[in-house]
Parts: sequence; C-alpha cells; structure tokens
Amino acid sequence: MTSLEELSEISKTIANPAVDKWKAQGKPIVGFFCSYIPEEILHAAGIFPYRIKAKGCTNTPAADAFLAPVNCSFVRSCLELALEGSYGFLDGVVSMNSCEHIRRLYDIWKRKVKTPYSHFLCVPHKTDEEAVNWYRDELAIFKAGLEKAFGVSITEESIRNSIAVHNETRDLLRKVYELRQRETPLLTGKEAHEIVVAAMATPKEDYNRLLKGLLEEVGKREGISAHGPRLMVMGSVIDDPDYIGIIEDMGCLVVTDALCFGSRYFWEPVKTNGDLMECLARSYLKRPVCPRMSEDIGQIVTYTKEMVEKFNIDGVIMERIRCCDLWGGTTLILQKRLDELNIPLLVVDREYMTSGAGQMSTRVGAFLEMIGRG
Amino acid sequence: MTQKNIREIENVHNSMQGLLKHVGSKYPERKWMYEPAAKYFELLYEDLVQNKPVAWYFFLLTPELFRAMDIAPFSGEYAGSVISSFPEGIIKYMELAEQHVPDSLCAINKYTLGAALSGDFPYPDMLIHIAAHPCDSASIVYPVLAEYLGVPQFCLDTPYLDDEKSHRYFASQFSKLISFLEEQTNQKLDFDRLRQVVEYSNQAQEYVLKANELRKEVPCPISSRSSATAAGAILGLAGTPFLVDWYKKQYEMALERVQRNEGALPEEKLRVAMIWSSTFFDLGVLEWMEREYGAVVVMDLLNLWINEPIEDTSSLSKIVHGLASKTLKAPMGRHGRGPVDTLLEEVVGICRDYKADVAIFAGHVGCKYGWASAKLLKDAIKEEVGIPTLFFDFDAYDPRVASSETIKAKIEQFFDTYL
Repeated sequence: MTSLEELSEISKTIANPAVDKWKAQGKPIVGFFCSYIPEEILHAAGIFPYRIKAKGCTNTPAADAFLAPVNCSFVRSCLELALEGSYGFLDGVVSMNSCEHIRRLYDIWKRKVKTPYSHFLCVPHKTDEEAVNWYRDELAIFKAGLEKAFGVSITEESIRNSIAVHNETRDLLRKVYELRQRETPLLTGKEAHEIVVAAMATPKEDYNRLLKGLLEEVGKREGISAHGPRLMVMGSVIDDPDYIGIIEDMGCLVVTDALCFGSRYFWEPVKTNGDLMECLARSYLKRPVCPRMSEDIGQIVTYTKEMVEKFNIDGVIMERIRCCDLWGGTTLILQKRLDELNIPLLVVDREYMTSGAGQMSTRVGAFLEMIGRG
Repeated sequence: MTQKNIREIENVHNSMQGLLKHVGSKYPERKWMYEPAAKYFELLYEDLVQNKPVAWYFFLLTPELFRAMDIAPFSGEYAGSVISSFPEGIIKYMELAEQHVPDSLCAINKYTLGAALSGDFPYPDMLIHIAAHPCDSASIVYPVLAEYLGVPQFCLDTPYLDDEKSHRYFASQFSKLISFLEEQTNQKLDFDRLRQVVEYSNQAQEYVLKANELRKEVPCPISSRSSATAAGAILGLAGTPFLVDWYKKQYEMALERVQRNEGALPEEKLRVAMIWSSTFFDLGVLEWMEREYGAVVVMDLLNLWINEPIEDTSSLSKIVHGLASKTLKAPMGRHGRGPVDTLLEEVVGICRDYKADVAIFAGHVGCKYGWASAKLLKDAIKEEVGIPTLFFDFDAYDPRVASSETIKAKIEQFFDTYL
C-alpha cells in the first residue's frame, strides 16, 4: 500500500489501524472538537489526540432525541456516532466554546456518552494580549487536569518536543499544498483533503513518516493537466473528502481551501520564542480565523485573498452547513469583498451528509459554466 | 457630524405615542404596560434630534454607559421586538437581510442587519457587540456589519463560566469599552454622571428583584403581559429615572394586591412558567391564556434578572465591575453562553419556586442552543418538579412560521389535556 493509499484509508473511517495499535499498547486516546485546541499538550502527555468527526454517519435517529433540526447536522452526526458507540475507544474528550452547537454537544456528551475524562476550554474570541494571557492560563489548567487525570507529568521539554513534532507536520503539509500551487497540480483536492483529515486521526510521529513517504511518491507523479477551473473551498466544517470529490467530479480541481479540516489546521507554525504555553496560546489564537473570532472577522477575507493569489484561483465555493450561523453571517462580507476583487463566489447551503450530492453537482456545474463564460 | 436619517425612528415614536393615547382612552388601567417601549423610542428620538452619536449595540449589553455619555443607544433587538408587534412587523427588513445571509439566522438579528442595510434607520457611528452571549447569530451579525459598513466596532469577549475570574476578565473588557467610547465621541466619561445613571439603575433593579419575589405569591399579583414588558424594559431603559418610576409602580401595584390577597386575574386557575421565549409579535396570546383558561405567567426566563444592585458606586472600577457582572448575568446570556447546568437549575427553580402547574417551552426557531437544551430541560422538569411541559416551535418575531392562531391551538390542546 502506498502512503497515499494508507492515508486515504485512515480518512474513511472513525476507528483505524493506528487507533487499534495505540489502544493495544494500553495508551490513551482523547478526542477533541476544534482546531483551536492545541494537540501539543495532549501529545506531550503521551496521549493520542483524535479530532472527532462524523464520517460515515448516514442518519441521526438517536441524536435527534437531543438535538433539533435547527441544530447543525455535523454536530448531530458526531453525537449519533458517539451514542451508537463508535467513539468507545476514547479515554477522554476535550471541547471548547467554538459555537453554540458544539457547546451544547459537550453538555449532552458529558451526560449521555460518559467518556471517562472530559474538559472544556474557554477560548477567547479576541486576539489581544489580554486574550492571549487568558488562553495561556486556560491551557495551564488544561495541562494540570491532564496530569492529574492520566497520572503523567507534562514537562517543558515534552511540550517543546511536541511543538517540534507538530511543526514538522505543519511544514510537511505546507509542502503537500505547494504541490497543488503548480499549473499542473500533483494531487486532486479530494486526495489532499484525505491527507489532512488523516492528520487528525493518526499519531503524529507515524503521520509525519507517512507524509515524507507521500511527498516522495507524489513527487514522481505527472501533473494533472486537464483539470478545468482551479477552485478554493471554504466555510463550515468538512471532514469528508467525498464532498470535495463531488465538486471535482463536475470538471474542476480544488487546489486549496480555508477549512478547519484543511489549510487552517496547519498553515502557521507555533513559534517557540518564550514561555511555551504562551507561545501555544498566541499561535492558536492568531491562526487563520474561523468566524467564531468575533473581532477579527475581516481576516477571513484577507486569508481568502492570500489563498486566491497564491493558488491562482478561478473561483471560490463557500459551503454553509444549514444553521451554521457563524459561516452563514460571514457571507455578507465575503460576497462584498470578493465582488470588489472580481473573484467569482458560489455560496452553497448543505447538510452534513453527502446525500444532497445531486443538488450540489447542479450548483457547481452552473458555477463552472459561469466562470468559463467569464 | 452629519444629520442622521431619523424618519423611521420618528415614525415608530409617533406610532407608540398614538398607541399610548388610544390605550389610555380605551383601557386606562393598561396604559402603563405600553409605556416602556414608548419611552425608549421617545428618548432615542430626542437623542437623534440632538444629533448625538449613535451606537448600535447588542441588547444584552446593559446601556448605562451610553446614557452617561450622551450616546444615542440603538438596539436592533429591542427596537425590533417592539416593531414586530406592529401590523407591518419586521418582515421587510428580515427579507432584506436574507438577500445576504441564510434565513436560519435569528429573526431579530436579521432585523438588525436588514435595518442597517436599508438606510431607513440612523447610520451607526459605532457598533458594540458581545461574543457568544448567548448565540452565534448575535455574535456574527455585528462584526460583519462593522466590516461591511466600515464602521468602528468593539467586541466584548465573554468567558464561558460565571466565576470571579471570568467576571474580572469581562470587567476589563468593559474598561476598554469606555476608552473606545471616549475615543469615538471625543469626550471623557463624566464619573459623577455615570454614578447618577447607575444609581437610577440600582433603584430600578431593587424593584425588579422585589417584584420577582412577589410573583411567587398565590395568586400571582402580576399579569402575563406586564411580565413580558418588564423583561424588555430593563434592557432598553436601564439607567433612566423613568424605569425607576415604572418598576416602582409595578411593584407597588403587586404589593397592594398581595396585601388584599388578590391576584392579577379575577380567578387564577393555572400557573404557567414560560421557560424559553415569548410571543413577542403578539403578546395578546398571553392575555388570551388569561381570559380563556385563567392561566397566568408567573415567571418567564427572560425576566429572571438575578443580579443585585451595584453595592459600591464610589469608584469607577467598582461600577465597571458591577456593570460587567450585570451584563454577564443577563437572562439569555447566562443561559446560553456557558454550561447547560445554569439553565437547568434555574428552570427547575422557576417551576418549583414560583409554584408552576405547567411549563411552556415556546421554542423560538432562531435559538439553536435553546433547542439543543430542550430534551435535557424536559427530563429535568419531569424528574425534579414533576409538572408537564409543552414544547412547540415558532418564531418569536415572525408570525409566518406559526401564527397566533396556530400557537393558541397548541396551547389549547395542551391545557385541555392537562385540565
């Protein structure tokens, strides 16, 4: 099996061979919900940080008892999988105040799923020094809680090592994305998404090894020359590479994104120029923004523009999971600013599951035609 | 500063004055319940005529600072909830917003957005918002508007918990807000004036707490409509002498009734706890419940103000801490921002302490965190209080989702089954 095939397989399921192997060694796995939660601290405690996703969920009968149709279908799907036992391998769960749906998911999860360890991080919605200090203190509390719950000591050295390991992941992933900057990209958007999704479901040392192998393998490929328009995808959470595949099946290539299971996960390294907890707090707060960061909403446009220029984008698809008000509201400025920059934008509403693929294909098809005409 | 477009505010102000006159002549005993909304628009209109700088702000931010700094405070949420009860409602503005954002955003936030985009309302000189207090819809509308319009904004960042450390963090945000307001208005905060405003606010708050205690009496001495009105009044008018007089009047009327062993209704048959939203587009639904079923709302979640008056007003830092705590502890905000435990405990408390016979979860479709709490609420009420709860979905500001008649039919069926 090639590295790409291995990473692709990991992205397709909840549990995977890496999870099984880790558990067989008697080591803990802790699930986390959002890209603002520093994996480094879990890693430094000898814990495998696993980003909770909902891939494979096809309906939500159990979760619907707790969550209504006005609640995000990604969150409902995560709860469904947890209630049906798919997350039985987790020794703990860490959540944060990402959005109102995730906040309540944590309340329900704690009561009904009863994962042994749980922690909630209060992540600021601003990035000024006071917010950085607040988050540093929150991370210190998180660290102390982990040490107590798992009977480990998280040393400065172990955190420094974890930051280095994760920065290597970031560096390697940027190299993967660079392969997509070319006129003839070496990866499809679906493949690239599989690679990033796998990053959050594999112990990082193993993942970095796989990525190095992948870069060697893919470097020998011929570029994709007949690919149609170059698109960027952004918006609500996408943890299912099939979604990118549906878009590309219409005759285009997704060459970059602004997704939290995508470039926003790894784009900036953690700088280690001072107190390490403060470095983590600062880096995570100042990463490319999600609209939860209330005051910095304009940064979304800046980041989008940067990506559009760097990856030579022909059009942007912004997808919004129904009732995701944070991304929904962001449309107001994104539409205006991209219009000013003369960048075509397609806004698509969807549910988490890919069952609405037909409608999606129609919308993308029409968009591609419009770009072609333009 | 250029003159603002005040036409629409003038229209609403005139409509409210007309309504007061009409109610005063036909139902003089009910006139006082319409006074807070009329006063809000009267004061706003006067501020605008004087060409004061306009702050659009999210309504859970207690407005004392604006009142003390000669800033015209426009809250789309408060204004919209009043206007939604007018025949033309707020649909025009919601639809304008829906040209840009999904219809799933809360109606009242869509109103704010649409009102800003329409140009019918005074253009904001600044936008003040609160992150995640309580919902995403409110969190996103203000910052995107600020970016869209190119208007200065200030975000008050909220912590998740309600402990002392969190209050200190939030108080610090409040201090920065003062600096922001000073910068935007080019004037220093007058401490003596702020203290006076806070004294008014404190006096009103004392009556709020005392009136809420009286609601526990059987029969309940305060009517359902005045309860719903009171919830909004504090948001729009805190810091004004009017609010002190208004709450004092409400309290004294209630006290007299208690002393006479009378309730707000001629015969109280059913005590209702409203554990989520209310029918703001038609508060007549509450009066229908009273008439048809002798059912009085003994407490509603939005009226559950729990903060004590600011004890020490001798220094700016103490006042700032007090105002910050008041904002953090605002109903809705504290129920949505943090863990669900606060909500569960308080709803159970309402049902038990106010001796409710039934609970109604009027589930506003824009309240995603509310609906995500519904099952937990249902279980908690059943287990700890043992009273039945009616759940239904509707839009508190938009009768197209569920009309007054549809809502009444649901309540009717529930009451008939229960009674």
